[in-house]
Amino acid sequence: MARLSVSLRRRWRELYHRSSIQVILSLFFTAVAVVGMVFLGLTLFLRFSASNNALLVENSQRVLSQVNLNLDARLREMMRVSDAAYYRVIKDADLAEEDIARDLELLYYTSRESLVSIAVFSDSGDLIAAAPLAVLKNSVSPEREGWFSAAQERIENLHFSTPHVQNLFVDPDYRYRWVVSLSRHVELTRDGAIESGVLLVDMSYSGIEQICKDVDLGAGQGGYLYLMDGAGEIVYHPRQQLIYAGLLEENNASAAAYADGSHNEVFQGQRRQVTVKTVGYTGWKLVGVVPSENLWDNYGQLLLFFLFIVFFSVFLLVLVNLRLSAWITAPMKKLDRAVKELEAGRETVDLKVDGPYEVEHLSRSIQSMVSTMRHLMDDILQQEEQKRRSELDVLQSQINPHFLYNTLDSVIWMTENGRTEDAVVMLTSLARLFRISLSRGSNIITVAEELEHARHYLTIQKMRYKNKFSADLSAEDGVEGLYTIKLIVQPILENAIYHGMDYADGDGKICVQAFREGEDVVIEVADNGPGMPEEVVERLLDQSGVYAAAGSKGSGIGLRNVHRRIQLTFGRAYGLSILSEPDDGTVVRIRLPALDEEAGRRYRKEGGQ
Amino acid sequence: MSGRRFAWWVLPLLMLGVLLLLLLLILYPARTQRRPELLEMSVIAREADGSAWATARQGMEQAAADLNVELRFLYPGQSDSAQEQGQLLRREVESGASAILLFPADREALSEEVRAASSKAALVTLETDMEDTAGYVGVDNAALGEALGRAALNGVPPGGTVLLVLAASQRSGVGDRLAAAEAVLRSEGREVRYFAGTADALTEALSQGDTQAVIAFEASSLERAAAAVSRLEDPPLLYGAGSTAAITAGLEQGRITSILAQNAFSTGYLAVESAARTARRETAEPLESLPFFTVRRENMYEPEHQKLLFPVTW
Repeated sequence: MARLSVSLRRRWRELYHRSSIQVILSLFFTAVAVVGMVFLGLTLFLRFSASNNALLVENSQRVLSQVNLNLDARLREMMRVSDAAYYRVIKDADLAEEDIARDLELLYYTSRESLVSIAVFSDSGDLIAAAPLAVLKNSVSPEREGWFSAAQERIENLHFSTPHVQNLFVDPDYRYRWVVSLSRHVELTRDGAIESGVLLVDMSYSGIEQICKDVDLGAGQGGYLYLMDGAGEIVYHPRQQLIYAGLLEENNASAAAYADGSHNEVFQGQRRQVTVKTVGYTGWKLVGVVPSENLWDNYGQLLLFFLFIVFFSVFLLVLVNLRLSAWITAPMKKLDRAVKELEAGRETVDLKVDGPYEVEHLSRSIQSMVSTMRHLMDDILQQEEQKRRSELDVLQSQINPHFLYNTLDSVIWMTENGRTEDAVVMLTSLARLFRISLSRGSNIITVAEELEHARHYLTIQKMRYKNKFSADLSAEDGVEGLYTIKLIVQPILENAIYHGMDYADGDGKICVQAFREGEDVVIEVADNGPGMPEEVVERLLDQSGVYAAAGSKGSGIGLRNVHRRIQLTFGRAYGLSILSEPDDGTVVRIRLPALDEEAGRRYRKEGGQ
Repeated sequence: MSGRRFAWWVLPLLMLGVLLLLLLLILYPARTQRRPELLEMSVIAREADGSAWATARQGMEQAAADLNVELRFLYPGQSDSAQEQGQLLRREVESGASAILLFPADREALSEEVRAASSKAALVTLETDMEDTAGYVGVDNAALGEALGRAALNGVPPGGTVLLVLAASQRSGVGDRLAAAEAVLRSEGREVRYFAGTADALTEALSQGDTQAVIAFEASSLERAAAAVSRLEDPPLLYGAGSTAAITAGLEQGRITSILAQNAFSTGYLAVESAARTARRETAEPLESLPFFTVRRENMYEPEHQKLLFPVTW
């Protein structure tokens, strides 16, 4: 269990970290909405079910009350007929003198729709008068009938029988009619003497049927109503003949024990809601039956409809939530995109985002942060440039003291030895050399000026080295007009002289050539000195490590300075390359971009900055 | 939202929604479909007048209402005419009747038509059982005839004469009753005679006084016999089958000694139910012979017999 919990928690965390804010918002919105809707829907459904049940019970009771009223009215009508027969016809008549048959017939005709017969019997069961049929069957003994004995046993009451076939009177049409008999004990007057008798009013059974049929118990729920006496004997049932034929059963025996009100019962495997109402005076019971299955059928439909509505609402909610979460998260997503663009190095990124307060605040903060960062970066770049510039200046200034010292030393030496003309030449070359070096402060000069600078330098050095070597400078047509950073040939010549010509004996030779190679300009300085092994060549241009730091003569610092200056100015594609083999001379190639006047001017400005 | 994500989220929901809607549409009509489709059923009577089986007709109509059946009652121009019944049967089959109830007048004469009709419609017989039908609803005629014979034994001493009123067609369930009664009477040493004719002729036949008991095997014969004995000063005992109003009146007046009655309402109801189930190809319990009851004057108003003899009519 604990492992499962941990696993679930881990998966949840993974899902959480993998998901976007929009998805999380959508999921949570939807989950909360669904839970709310299901809770609300179920509450409403259960409430509706309960209300509907209560309504059905109420409806059944209301219908039963109405039927009860109608039935009561019909029974009271019979009782009024009975009262009228007794108090208006029988009680005042002396049977020895009067024939009451005519009065009974009149009374019968006033209510013939609901009556089958009215009859008066003596205490011994002899027929005294009857309407409309007046001949008693030979086979009949009224005193043995249930209605007769009931009237005699409880003389103060009116007695309603259960339905039975009226078989008392001779009917030429052989009609046997189902009736409900109302019987009562009556006092008959004969010759002034009072004797007992029984008054019988037979009510047409169809009258009860008319009241009970077509009763709507629950609008097509399959409900029906039946009527039984207090003992559970069925008085009316819409499928009475089926019950009599044994093809159908009713739960009347159990229902007879039910009190008035609503009950739930299971009969023949069917759940039913039964409502009972006792009919006044007779003790009969009206029973309304509604099969619960039919109710649940409707509830099932309702539940299905409810589920459909919930599902459809969820579907709509998901759509709305997706749109809503997209709307809410749009500023954040925009901000995220902008930050990603920043990360990708894009210069101009729009960080201004409209949205809620927090997002706008975040946007402004990021904007401010980016702005600050950019300022700091500019500062750093500026400082780097300044550093580069100062480094260049230092590099350039590193050349001057060596050379100046050596040259002036030579001039002093020549002057002291009376070689005034040579000294003038040397000083003139030196002056030219410095003039080109200064170049009015410009870092960029023409190749021609650079070669002239190299020539003056060679002039000076040849004089110092007593013509141990010869030098040849040449430039391809059109190359001299191109531009280069200044003082890049001289350090190489210096190296060639110090390392290649020092031991020459008049046969040293230095050759300087400038030519185009595609889009580049190459200035090649070749000497026929002793050359150097490969490892020396490699370390000459090594800008890292101990060699670069060494500043002693022969360490190649001049070469490295030139190489670095070129790469700092033009990029890593340019610079020096050295070809040398021991005893086979050295060739140093300076590769530069071919700068025309315009490009040279641009570099001059940048250098000026 | 990208199209892919939209498809990932919304399309499955949309499909589920459509599925649920379909489910709702499938389930919703279930309640209305619970009531079966209307079934047309023809009822071919044996007698030109249907009054003898009015109660059975009530049962049929009740079943028709319960089972959504439309009944069409057809009467032959002449009672007990097997030929006319055959014609009616053919016509109903040709007109596409799904179910037919038949009171056969003559088992043998109708056998071909019944076999042909049974192959095309659910055919159930009443009163007379026949082969090749979907079923028979009624009493065991032989048992009923035997019971009538045994009832007559009580009032006729050995050697006495019992008159058996012949039915119009002896080749039917009524004939089975007669044959069974005859067998019982003869086996018990009673003399058996037959009679076929009108009530007046029967009165004349009985007026000779040599008949101790009369047995009629169906309602119309019994009514005629009751009318005949009512004219006699010393009528013989009368036994019979049937429960019309005239018969119950005869029973009550003492003209009929006892009757064997069946619940005609049940018969009608069960016949329609059986034919409808067969036509709708529903499973049903095999039909058993219906019970019959002996009713005498003394017990005819007992509650159970009242319900049997006097159907509740509104």
